[in-house]
Amino acid sequence: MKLVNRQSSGNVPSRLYHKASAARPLHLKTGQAGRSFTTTRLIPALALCTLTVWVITCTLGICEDKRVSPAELSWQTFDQLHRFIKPQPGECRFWEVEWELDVAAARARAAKEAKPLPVLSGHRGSPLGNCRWSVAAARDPEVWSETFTRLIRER
Amino acid sequence: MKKILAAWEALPEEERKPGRKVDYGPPGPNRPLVRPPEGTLILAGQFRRFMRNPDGTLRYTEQADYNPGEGQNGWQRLREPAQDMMWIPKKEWRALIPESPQKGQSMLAPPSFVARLARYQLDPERGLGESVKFLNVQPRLAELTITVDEVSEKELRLRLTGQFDLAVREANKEIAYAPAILGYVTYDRQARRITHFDLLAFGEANNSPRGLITGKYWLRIVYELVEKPTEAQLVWPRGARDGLAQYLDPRPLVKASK
Repeated sequence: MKLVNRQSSGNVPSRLYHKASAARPLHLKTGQAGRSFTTTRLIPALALCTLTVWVITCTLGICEDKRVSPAELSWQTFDQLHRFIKPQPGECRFWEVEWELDVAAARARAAKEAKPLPVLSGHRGSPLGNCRWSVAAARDPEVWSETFTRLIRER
Repeated sequence: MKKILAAWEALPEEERKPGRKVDYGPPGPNRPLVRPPEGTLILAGQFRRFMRNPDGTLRYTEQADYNPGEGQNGWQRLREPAQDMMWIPKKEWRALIPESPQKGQSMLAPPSFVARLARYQLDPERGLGESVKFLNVQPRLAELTITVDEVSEKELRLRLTGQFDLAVREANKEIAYAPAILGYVTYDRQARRITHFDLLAFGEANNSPRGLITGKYWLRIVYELVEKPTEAQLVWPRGARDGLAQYLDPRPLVKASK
């Protein structure tokens, strides 16, 4: 998926446009009456050099703004971005199981349905949360193959 | 797994009958399950890291994007989205709703909501480990604005827009995340409840926690409303694990000095 900065055209960072417009008042005509050399030639020349350096560095991505423009997130791109983040087919199979948090409730359910009970326990808190080792061990995609997931869900 | 199932099949049939009465006594009082307080809005979050292709498009991470060791060994899991929950207490989500809404009207989001996002919910650690990286963050930027998009007798449609710039130093490296935020909220005025809440964070991150990625990558986070949570979606947010009260009413943010 291609992300396009919608405040500007193409991939040019929007802040380039702010800089360019800020520099615009310095584009004075040469030879205006009452203007010194500094005003008429030197400042525009320096501004032009600065702008040129800015364009080159931005084109090369050296000074890319690390903040994303909110315009890049829009109603038009929202759903696409949303889908791109969420699990794709075959990912996060661990979550396809109807896990119980309460051991007593899980035991009662297992007895009712006549099924063995797989138990995952975390160091502090539930493996459904963010315990690093539980996550690494319990949710390893290599373990949660399609067959294994089906076996857990059905049996 | 096959061994476990074989052991199960070896049990007497009487013990494997459905509907068998069991009595394990009352649950232990030491580690009670923590449930969200009444009226809490529950949002489920997904976190995913991306890299840029040379042409600027984004792609999912690959093994070579991670540092050798833990990162490259566990890259398949790290490529998948990580999960966390967000709880928004009733008092706070009510404060998101303007009292006399006018189309186009805007206001700042409640400071406690902004603080919870910054301290707990925009944490690049999710999916990598369990620490809370931005617990004491002093953000360079943390702004969130609510704008009324649509008003009718039946419902309100609100848009959340903002920017965060969060960074902490860890082992002489800066762990940083600077996302833009866009969210959409629908409030049913007759039922007096939120029926839709989507929040997207998208921005550049620098140096992943645990040293799994060095340098820049992109982190996107999406939170969405869970109206009828499953048991697994009632697990508390990581931020609430060490102190539910502090999570529900987080300390106000102090901006970083320049």
